Amino acid sequence: MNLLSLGWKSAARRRASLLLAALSIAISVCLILSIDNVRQQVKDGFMNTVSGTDIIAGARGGSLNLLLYSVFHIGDATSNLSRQAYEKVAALPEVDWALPLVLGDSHKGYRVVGSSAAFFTHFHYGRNQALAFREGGPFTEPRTAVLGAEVARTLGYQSGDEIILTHGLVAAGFADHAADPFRVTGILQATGTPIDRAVLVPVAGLDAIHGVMPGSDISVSGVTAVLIGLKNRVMTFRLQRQLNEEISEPMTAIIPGATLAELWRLLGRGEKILFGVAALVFLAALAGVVTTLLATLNERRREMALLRAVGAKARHVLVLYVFESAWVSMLGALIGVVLYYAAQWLFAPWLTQQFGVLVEIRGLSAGQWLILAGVVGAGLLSGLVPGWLAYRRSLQDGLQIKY
Amino acid sequence: MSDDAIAISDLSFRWPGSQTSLQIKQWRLAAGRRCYLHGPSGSGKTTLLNLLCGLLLPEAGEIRIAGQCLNRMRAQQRDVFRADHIGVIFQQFNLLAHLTVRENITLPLTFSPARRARAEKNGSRVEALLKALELPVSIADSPVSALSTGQQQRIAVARALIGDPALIIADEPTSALDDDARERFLALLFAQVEASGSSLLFVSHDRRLRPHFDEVVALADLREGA
Repeated sequence: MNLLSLGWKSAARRRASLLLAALSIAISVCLILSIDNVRQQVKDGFMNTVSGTDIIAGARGGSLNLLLYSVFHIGDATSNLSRQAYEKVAALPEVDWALPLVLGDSHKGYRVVGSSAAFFTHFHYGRNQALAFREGGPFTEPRTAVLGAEVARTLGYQSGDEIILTHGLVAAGFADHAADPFRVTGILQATGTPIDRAVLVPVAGLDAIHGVMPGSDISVSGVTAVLIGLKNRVMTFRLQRQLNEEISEPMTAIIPGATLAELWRLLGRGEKILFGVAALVFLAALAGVVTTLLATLNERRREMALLRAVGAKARHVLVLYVFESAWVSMLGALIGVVLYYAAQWLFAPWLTQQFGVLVEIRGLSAGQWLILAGVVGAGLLSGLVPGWLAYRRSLQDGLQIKY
Repeated sequence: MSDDAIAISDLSFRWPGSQTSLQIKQWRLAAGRRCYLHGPSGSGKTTLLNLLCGLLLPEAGEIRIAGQCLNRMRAQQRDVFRADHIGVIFQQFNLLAHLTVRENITLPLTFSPARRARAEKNGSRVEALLKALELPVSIADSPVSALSTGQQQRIAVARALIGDPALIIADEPTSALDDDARERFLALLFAQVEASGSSLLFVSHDRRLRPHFDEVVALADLREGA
């Protein structure tokens, strides 16, 4: 029998409290990994709110503002681009495709986004994923609409239903385009992006209803923004500069990735707070392990004195404690990883359905391995505290058997 | 005289912060002898045992066990020496409850390869020891928790004796036993100590046991100036 199997057999007798300690580590490991994962996926999701689009152009203004209204449908453009400007941009030789975005109307609080049918082929999100339909298909005629997943779920629409658009953002009011209902042709699957909260209609439909508004001087004379895909991405910066310097009509062009990163720097502080909370949870778990081991100090005092009497060295006492904290934290880390994946597997479909958050089950990232290594290392070190106390005591106790 | 089991000269020890000190000018216990050591509580018996086991170091003087000078060794060497040459029996709670009878008896061999080799050579195996101590061999692989106090003390004897260490130190091993068990325990202990050729230092309050020993020593007589 060697020292470690001695330690193991001793631990087996105290397994209830040790398993509880391992479990408290497991829960905090699960929590830390989950927070790290959510943090990463939220960031990824945010950075990939739009993908495959190389340039977004709008009327001259702030680049963050352009990103907010064109991608997140937050706020409004101060002015529109003219129809001519849009056509000129779309016809540039470097441009592969150009999607017009016309904003300004709403339906029961959800933004209406006017675009072309090509939107469903070219608008990508996440890792270059195209929009997928849960039911129905793209709009075809002017008075048809496609609903984002959340819109359809919250308002209980199905394909074939008719909806009334409202001018502006008022939930309901005098500005209803009541004479011109739009028929729903399809409902999109959840994407975890602002598209879930959008009502997509053809630009032609918007032109038609605005054109016939009695007593109104508003007619859709232009577009709010243009999403541009290039034939060759190498041209991105050159075209961006070219559009920004366009003199016929003042324009702002942004590269979505760069501006998203800029916005994330403003919003991303939350992720640091989340991580700090997770670290505190872990510290609490570690304190739990130290407490558990400290509680065994008296219980094991006799054991240690006996081992010393039969010839154990003082450092063997230390080794026994560190060995115990090491395997408790390793077991905790292992159970934690299992819990982490079990939780993802269990909750991923629910998260997607309820919150439109896509949780992708991934392998452990390098950062997460580092977290696990840190957990085991810290657990090992935490054994040093009671181990050192037991070591000191065993030197003092000598042959005195206390209990 | 290196044959002595214990040889102390000019020993002086003081606990840190304590006024009283333990001082022993000269004391020898010849190899193979059985010594009864008595003294009132707090007279320093346990301190002396700690010194003999190498768990404490004297401030001055010399302690030799089986001819080897403890106070010239480093702490780790003393630990190894203790594992090799000394068997200890406590008053009670001698055994580790999470180990079987066999694991408890062979515990010293875990820390002493030399003693393990000796145990294997002399054939002082667990079963033989159990038989000699009048314990059923069938309990060898059962947990110790089911045993009576008397049985547990005998297993402690087996643990102290396995591998035939030079010195057996027993710290009031009979105080938890009733009269019959005490007599039986002592007879078995003596028989085994004799068989292994070990010396025995037996600390006790129980005066009735004195006649069984070769030597009777009062700690007060050992201490200088007392």
